[in-house]
Formats: sequence, C-alpha cells, structure tokens
Amino acid sequence: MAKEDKIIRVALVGNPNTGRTTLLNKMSGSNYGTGNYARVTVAIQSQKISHLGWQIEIVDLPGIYSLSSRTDEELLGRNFLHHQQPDIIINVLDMGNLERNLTLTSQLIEMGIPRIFVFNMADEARKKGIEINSEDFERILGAPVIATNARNGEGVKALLDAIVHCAAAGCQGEAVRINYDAHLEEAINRTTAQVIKLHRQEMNRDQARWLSIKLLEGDETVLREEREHDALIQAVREERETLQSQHGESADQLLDSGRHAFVFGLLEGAHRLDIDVALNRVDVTRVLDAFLLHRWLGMPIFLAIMWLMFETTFVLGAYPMDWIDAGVGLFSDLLNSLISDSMFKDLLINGVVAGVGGTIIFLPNILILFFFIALFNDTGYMSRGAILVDRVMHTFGLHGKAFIPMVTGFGCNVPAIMATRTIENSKDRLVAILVNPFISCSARLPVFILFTGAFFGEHAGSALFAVYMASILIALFTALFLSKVVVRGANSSPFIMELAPYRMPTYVSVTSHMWSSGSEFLKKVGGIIVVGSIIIWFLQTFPQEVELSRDYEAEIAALASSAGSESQDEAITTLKNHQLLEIQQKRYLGQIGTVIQPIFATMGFDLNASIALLTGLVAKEAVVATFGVLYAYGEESDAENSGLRYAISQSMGMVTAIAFMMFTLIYMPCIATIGVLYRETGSAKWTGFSIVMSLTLAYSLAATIAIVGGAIVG
Amino acid sequence: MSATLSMLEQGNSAQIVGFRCEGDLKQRLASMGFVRGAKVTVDHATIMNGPRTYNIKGNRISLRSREADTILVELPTK
Repeated sequence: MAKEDKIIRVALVGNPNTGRTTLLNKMSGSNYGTGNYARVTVAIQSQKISHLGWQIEIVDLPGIYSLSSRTDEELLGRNFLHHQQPDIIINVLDMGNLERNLTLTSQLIEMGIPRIFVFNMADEARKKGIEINSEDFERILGAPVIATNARNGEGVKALLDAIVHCAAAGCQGEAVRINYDAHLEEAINRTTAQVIKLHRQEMNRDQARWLSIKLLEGDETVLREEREHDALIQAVREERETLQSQHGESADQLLDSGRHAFVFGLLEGAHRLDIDVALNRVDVTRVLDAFLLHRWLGMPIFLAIMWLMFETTFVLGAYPMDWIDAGVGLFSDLLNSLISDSMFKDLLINGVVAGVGGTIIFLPNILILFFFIALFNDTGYMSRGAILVDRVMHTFGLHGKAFIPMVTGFGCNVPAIMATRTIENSKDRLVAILVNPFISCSARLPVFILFTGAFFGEHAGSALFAVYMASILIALFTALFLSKVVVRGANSSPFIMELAPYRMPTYVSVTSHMWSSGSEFLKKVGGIIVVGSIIIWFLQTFPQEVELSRDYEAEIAALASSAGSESQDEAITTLKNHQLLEIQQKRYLGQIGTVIQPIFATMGFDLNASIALLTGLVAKEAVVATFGVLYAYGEESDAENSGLRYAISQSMGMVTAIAFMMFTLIYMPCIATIGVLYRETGSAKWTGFSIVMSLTLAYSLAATIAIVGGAIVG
Repeated sequence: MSATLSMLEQGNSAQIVGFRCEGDLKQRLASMGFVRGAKVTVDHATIMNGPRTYNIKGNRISLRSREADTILVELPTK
C-alpha cells in the first residue's frame, strides 16, 4: 500500500473505561466527551488525521467486553469489524487489568484483521507495581505492543508511527491461533468449509472462520442472518449436539475454555501471573472508597457534596455576577450618553441590553455547575453515586444507572437524555428519559438564582439546593408512577456496575467541558435571547398611540395647576400609575398577557410573570431575559435597588415566588429537549405524553402551592 | 445446596462454586470475572441492602443482592 492510494482505516476496540476516547483525542487533538465510568462512547465516532504524509481515519467503537451480540454496543462494534473490515484494529487494553481485557483480545484475534495492541494507562499500572515487557507480549501476540498513557500523551506518537509502519509494510508476525479442543477444532473446520462455499464472494477465510465460530457458539444474531441456508444451520445444530454429548459441555463452554486457556498461557508466557499480589496492595482508590462508599458515611458524604455544589454555584458565582452586572450597567449608561433619544436607542437599551444583560450575568453560575459535573465525571465519583442511590432509585422504579443522566441533566437535558442509552432494558430507559426533563437544567438556573436571591436573602444557596432536591423528588415520584402505571415492559435489568479507580481529572478535560457549556450558553444569548428581547420590546412598545379611557394628561395638569399639597401629589402619582398601567395593557404584549393571564391567575402570577412563562416555552433562559426587558421599561433609576432582583421581590409574595419557581421547573421541556425526546424514544406518542404530563403536573403543583401556601400565610 | 454471594459478610472472601443463573446474566457476570473457582471479597455494602461492591481479581464490581443471589459460593469456615 502506498501513501497516495487510500486512507488507512483504523478501529479502536477495547473494554469500557480503558481510555479509548482519550487516546483518540490525543491522536487527533480534538475533544470528545470522556468520563471515568464505563460506556461513554455509545455511538460510532470517527476522526481523520494525517501522520507522516498518510491519511488515517480512526473510528472509536463503543467499549465492549466481548464480541457476543448481547448488547447493542457489542453488536454495533462487531458488525463494524466484520462487515467493514478496517485495515487495522487497535486493541486498547488497560495495562493494570490485562487478564480481563485479554478476553476480548482472544476474540478479536479470531477476526483475522491486522492488529496493534495498546497497553494503556501504563502509569496507573506502574503505580500498582505492574511492569510489563512488551517484547514478551509482541512475541506471543504476534503483533506490535505499545505502552501508552493516553492522558499525558506518552506513547501516542509511537502508536501513530506503528499504524503507518503497519499499513506500509505489514505488521503481523506468525498467525496467532487459539488452540481449541481437537473435536471443536474439527467442527470449526467443517463449518468453515461450508461457509466458504456459501459466501465465497464476500468473505475471506478469516471471516468465514469467525462466522463459523459464532454459529457454533449459538449466537442468535448470526443464526438469524444465515437462516436461509437451511443445510448450514442444520449442520451447525448437529455439531453442537455432538460436542455436547461427547464432552458433557456445550460448544460455547468449550470455546470459552479455549479462550481462557489462551489468556492464561499468554500471561504465563509473559511472566505476568503475579498480578493478584500487586492488585491487593492498598491504593488511593481503596482508601477513598473506604469513606465514600462506607456503609453509614457514604450517603451523608454524598449529600454534603451535592449541597456544596449548589452552595458554591450560588455563593461563588455571586462575585463575578456582580462584576458583569456592573459592566452591563456601565455599558447601558454609556449608550445612553452617546446616542440621542430615539426609538432605536430605546430598543437598544431597554430591549437588547436589558434582555441580554439580564441573562448573561448567570454565565459564572453555569460555568461553576459544569465544573462540578465535569469533576464528578472525570474523577469517577459518578459511578459511586450510582451505587449509593441505586437502592432509593430502585424503590422508585428507576435503574441506578439513571443517576448519571440525572446529574448530567443539571447541566442540560439534551445530552442527559442521550446518556440514558447506557441503560440496557428498554422499560428502564424509557422511564429514565421521561423523567429527565424534570431535572433542573442550567437554563432554569438563572430563574432560581434570581428568585432565591430576591426572596431568601442569605439562605439563597440552601434554597437553591432545596429547589434541586424538589426537582429530584418530582423526577423520582414521576418515575414511580410511570413504572407502576404507565410504561409496560419487562422488569428491571440487572445492576452490574464496574468501579473504575479514582483518577485525577485533567485540566484540559474539565476546562473543555466548561468551555463548551459556556459557549453554548453564549450562543443562545447571542441568538435566541437577542431576538426574543427585540420581539418583547416591540410588543410592549407598539402600538405607540393607544386610546385611553380617561384623559389622564388633562386631569394631571388640572391637579398640578392648583396649589400643591401632599394629598394632591399623591393623587397625581396614582393617576400616573394608572395611566402607565392602562397604556401597558393596551399595547400588544398587554393584550396577549390579558388573554393568557387568567390561566395563571390561580397561581397568583401577574401579567409580567405570565408573559415571562410564555416566552420560556422556547428556551428557559428567555424567562429571565423577559423579566429584564419588562422591568427595564419605566423603571425608576434608584441607587438603592439592585435592579431586577429588587423589582421581582416587589412584584410578588414569597408563596407566589415558590409557586412560580415550581412552575418554571416543571412546565415544559424546551424545544431542543422535545427534539431529543422524539429522537431517543422514536415515538411521537411518548413525546406528546411528556409535554402533556409536564404541563398538567406543573399547573396542579403550582396551584396547590399557591392555594395551600396562601391559606397558611393568611 | 451452597450459600450465595449475597450471604457473604463484608470483608470476607469466598470461592465461587457455581451459578443459579444462565444465559445473558451468566455471560455478563463471567465477562466481569465472576467465573467458577474465582475468589471474591466483599469490599463495600450500602445501607438498606443496596448494591454491594465485590473485589474479584482486583476489579471492583457492584451487584444488587438479586444478582449476587445467583452466584453460589463456599463460605469460609468460621
């Protein structure tokens, strides 16, 4: 193969949590989501890079433990390898965990595709006292073995060199074969001969042998694919029966023992059988888990960490928030002095700046929240959380693994709903998808920060934590209802969760999580929020001339002309307020608000709050932006008030505020979430169900809070 | 009839002697290292009989008691 000829197609294959995605990122210099829990890669991703003048396309296959067809990931991975036949398989193994990782290797070897072995996470393995001699492994595996540290890039260049070398000159030594039991081997050969007859055109010998092994293994997917070849299926069945009766063990057990013996022989040949000793040493992970997974301490620590996350989000976020707020204020003043009075100036200051400025100040809070989520992901604490809460989640009909999408949902529901793909059972997954929109995403965070700040003073951080707890409780109870009453299907899948060792999160990974969430937020602010603010401004400014029921100007003038006393001043102010109110009601926005406000009256929401909720249907960030525009209009400049927060605290009581927060939390998934709901459930019915369910629940809960709360407060 | 893995006390070890499950679950457990003859230690337990974390050949895997109940072990003699 020469450089110009073609692209070298390479597939990364390995167990979950062996660092394939990190390796791909290091090879290509890009950044995909990685996380320190099993199964981050759920779809096939590929990257094109060039090295030494060669084009290399690297495909990252989902993490798999074997090449059976039991899970979607395994099927996806093996179909890709079998049908697409990449030029080179890069088998990524966790060097500290070779024995188990090699089980997959033994199956990959059978596919016959040229291979390069990557022993990744060499630093962790060395810390555990594991040293390997790559030459020993190269000899036995008959292919290049490269030790890497994907996290700091060690060995990545050597790997790229090996890929190019392998493509140019070939890299396979002697063909490595797994020696199966003699009878089994004969059966495989007989079946292979038959397969070759049937598929001469489309399969080489290795592919045929692999297919035969899968057939003899009783793999349902290949049996189904080959079902039109009655003779083959019949022959395979007879082979299986014969093996069973001769050995008292089924063909799949014989295959398993063959592979196991191969792995054992391999490790013995490379003098690596002392692994057990090394792994029982006390390490940091075990020490940490002794506390974090402690029977009694685990849960309180977990809750404390969650509380700390929200407290920090509020308290630490408040400082940069003030700076941005002051900056926006200065900018607004600057515009005010630079531009002469006009409609355009009003649009700029009271529309765009008020809306964008009101929203953008929450950027620090969002960054802090994503910092924590990235931290949980990368350190490996997320899977501990899943274990701690599984008992509770299970009671409510949710799978413990649904915890990970739930925490991701604090950031954004869209990736969170996609993350439910790691849940295998379809019923478990549907429930996890349907409750995810109730998990308060970062778009709702500005609303809660504004309201908790306005009504709860120094306890705002704890109030914020309470809102999130409420969001979790709502999700849990909805899950209970859904799994018991609404969603039908086979019961919960088993809970088998691997605990990766704790890892120090890398600076790059954490900052890139924060950067992507921050830029996503800014894009929204620059796009939909600007447009939304202009529309709101337009609707509340036009029509300019409205017909009033009374001649306020004349009445005010009449009052003002007579001698001034205190009662007269008061009368003038009242008149002015009435005039302003009537003008606002007769503008377009007022007209819309007057129509929809009765719907919200039960919950005590005023005109402005109703309009804010309406705009929030598009994107939840718009709720705060709308308040920003609405209160910028006619706002008295007063050094004492702290802007929007003050205006909000004057506009409603605490009970109404709580009802408003609950309504905002629940009332409807945003447009992007509705889109992903539809894509992931593949059903308009469930998507519609989600919308109707949220609206109904939001209305009844907020109305209950308003009525009961109102009665208590009096 | 032997004891199951879920009966093993925290901190204790036992050897796997068999399985009461088959098919998918058995294969998945096997791919995580739960095979006949393997030594298992209970590393962590959670309150209210939630999932427990087992150490098998240095890998740490959490199972609910429902899954652990399908793994037969020989309990250590007291």
